[in-house]
Amino acid sequence: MVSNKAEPDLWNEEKLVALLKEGHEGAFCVLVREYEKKLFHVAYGIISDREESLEIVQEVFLKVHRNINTFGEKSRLSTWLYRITVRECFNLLRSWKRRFRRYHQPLETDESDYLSELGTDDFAPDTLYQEKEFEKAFREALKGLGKNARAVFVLKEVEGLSYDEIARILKIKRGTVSSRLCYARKNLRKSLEKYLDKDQSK
Amino acid sequence: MKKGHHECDAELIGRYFDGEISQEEYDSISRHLKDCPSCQKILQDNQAISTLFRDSLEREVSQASFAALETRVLDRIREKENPWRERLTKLLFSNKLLIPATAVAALILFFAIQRAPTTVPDPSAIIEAFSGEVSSVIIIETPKSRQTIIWYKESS
Repeated sequence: MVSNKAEPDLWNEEKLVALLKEGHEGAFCVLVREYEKKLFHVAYGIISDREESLEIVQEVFLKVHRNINTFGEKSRLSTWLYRITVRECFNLLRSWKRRFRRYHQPLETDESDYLSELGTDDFAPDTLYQEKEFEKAFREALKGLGKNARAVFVLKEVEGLSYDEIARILKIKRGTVSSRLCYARKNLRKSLEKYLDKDQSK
Repeated sequence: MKKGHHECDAELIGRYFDGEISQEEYDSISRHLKDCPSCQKILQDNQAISTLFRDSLEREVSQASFAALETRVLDRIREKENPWRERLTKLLFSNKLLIPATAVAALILFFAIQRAPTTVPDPSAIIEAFSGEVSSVIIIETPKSRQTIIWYKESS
């Protein structure tokens, strides 16, 4: 376990950045704990793999630590962090190593994940099966969007960022954010039609 | 969906859903939604997708080990803060040093074995011995070479 205790009173962005630039380890712990889940959400939304998403988040924090002195205080720290995360995800998606690994993935992975939960207290066959089925369908539908639309959708849905913030993170126009979101939702609605109708008929 | 009507626009409904429109647009779409089931459906679907997606992400988050992540990140940072220790460790365990060191060790071991004095055990028995005027012969049985024959001349 991490021995350094994160100090919540450090959570003032300007002060935090100043301390990070001085190499203050406590400040770094605050940063990690504040953003680890948010960055994981974004990474997982884009690449759909838990372990790879954790690796991405780790790499983002190391890059932040290494390059904190280049961070211009005109932009927000969160914008910078999300931008690095999205860039890392895109790099991973492009890498041959990942494509090779994906191509040779064992077929029973999904099944074993499913079976591992059978003994838990939450186990309820119908619900669990439906959730798994939906998650699988959702992952497939997300993959089908393409990385640019997926990144916009994830930043909007997961972190609830405004169009302007998303535009700054991805360095695109606000209108492009709007049209990519529309495209993403339209395709997701189409791919998940049967689940959405079931959900709304409850 | 009514074609050609500016309010029957999925992108606009999306912006309405995200709260990214002006007050005027908001009022206009709100009025339109009351009478347009297809746009109501788009809005409901957007909401459902958002909820289902967030729920599935939360399940993933609950299974991810963030304590291990924090430890790994801090360990890596501490390594970076001790560059000399890191360099020394890297040098000691790098192939640049490890391969020549192994080769030298193998050579030393090889020559040490070669040069080690071989202890010849005592002959187990003299099989035969002849003494003549010109020379003498002695045949000895030794464990390694089985038999050793020695010609010798004893000077008086």
